[in-house]
Amino acid sequence: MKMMKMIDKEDLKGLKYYLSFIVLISTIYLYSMFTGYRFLSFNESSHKKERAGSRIYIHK
Amino acid sequence: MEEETTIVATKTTCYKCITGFDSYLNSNAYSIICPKCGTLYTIYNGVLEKTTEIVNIPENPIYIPIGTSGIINGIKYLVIGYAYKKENGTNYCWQEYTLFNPIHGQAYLSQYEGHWTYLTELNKLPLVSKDGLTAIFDGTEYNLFSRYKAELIAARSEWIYRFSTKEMPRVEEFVIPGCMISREQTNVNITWYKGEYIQPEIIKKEFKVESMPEIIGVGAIQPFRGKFKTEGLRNLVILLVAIWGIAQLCFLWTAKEEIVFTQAFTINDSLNKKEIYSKPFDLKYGTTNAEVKVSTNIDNNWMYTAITLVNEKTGDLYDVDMEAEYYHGYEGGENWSEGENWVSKVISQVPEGRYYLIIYPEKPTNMASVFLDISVARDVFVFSNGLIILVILGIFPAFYFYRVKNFEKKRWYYSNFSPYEDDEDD
Repeated sequence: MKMMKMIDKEDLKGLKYYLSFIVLISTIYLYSMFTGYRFLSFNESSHKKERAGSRIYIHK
Repeated sequence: MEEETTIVATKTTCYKCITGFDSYLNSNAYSIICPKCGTLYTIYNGVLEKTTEIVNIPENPIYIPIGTSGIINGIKYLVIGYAYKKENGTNYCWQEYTLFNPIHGQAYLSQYEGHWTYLTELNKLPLVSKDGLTAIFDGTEYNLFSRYKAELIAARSEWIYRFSTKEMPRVEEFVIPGCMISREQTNVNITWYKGEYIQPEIIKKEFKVESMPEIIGVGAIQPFRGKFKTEGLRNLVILLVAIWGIAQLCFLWTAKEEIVFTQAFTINDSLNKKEIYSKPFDLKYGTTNAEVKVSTNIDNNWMYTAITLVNEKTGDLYDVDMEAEYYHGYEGGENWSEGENWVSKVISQVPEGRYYLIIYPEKPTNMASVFLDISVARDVFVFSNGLIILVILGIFPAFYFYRVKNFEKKRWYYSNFSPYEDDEDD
């Protein structure tokens, strides 16, 4: 509360776009943490609905 | 705004060049200069007394003509004088306009490289530190910006005090963005002033200035202009980091991190490059992540394991390729190591249900068998998500503060007391 008082209302008006961005990013963060989504994990695992043929094993 | 007070100029005549000129201070004036010949007069009870001093007549453009009035900070001022000054021993020159209001007295407008400072006399003393590098006034600490002797080059003015061209006051300026306090010391007295940065457009508008000087660089007290205060953003960032830390701790504490499956395998030639089916296990807690971890006994070697997490009921598949590499040695008198003999990967958003693993191991040919310990943990805390969020949210403040720092460095560029001297050397 004390910290909130340290931020001027006029400053908050000036920062409205950044505040909107914070809200958007925070929503994505909370969604990912509650649903167990790990950012940047798209190349680590792949999800398929069913097994079509045998899996291709990629050993570099 | 206060009530307007009209100042009527009186005509005065120079004894030397017999030129009539206006005096706005009338009987309040103590010193006055003839605008034509530069003779300095001392005034006693309205009677001019010629001195032996001659002041140069200004040759540079006077942006605000004497006799012009304008409002600064709600006070209506009349411009009664102009002085062109120089830092003794250097080429730094600035203009100083003397302002007068019958109630508030004299004030000054200083103009240097297009930057305007409104100066008023202080009625209480700031506290200067022992080393002379800072001064505290009204609870605010100001930093020493410049120390010089002010030399008068030319003037056209009148003053409410005794003025002498021979005086070369020693000036010390202490600044913070937007404000300054300055000490002017002559042989007989010390005067402190408080200065405030005035945006050039305000001067142009208030004094109806037709031609303004070009703005060069960053002024000594020019504030960084934005739609918000730097402190506001700084406080918001502190608040944001605190909330972020609390949120991360909450997710860390509430993460179940439950080991739901663990099984050991010895991979020999008969199991190499063949699919192995694990025993089934349950994943609970709705839709959340699952971390698969493979530990091996490899040493200066590699082990590849492809794992498919299969939902028994729906047939949904989650593939992960896991390759552990661990090498170490002794070279050039130093021990070195690279990689780990274990590997783990997080599978995102796995719904609850009964699952099993299809394991496809590939071992190196130079090992007869490799020991594999595979485990699955449910609902693990993912620190990297928070870190990515923090980096994304930090881009704008980082860019903004970088710009502010650059602005500050430019402000201090011509100061002998710059806190950025080391940076400039780089």
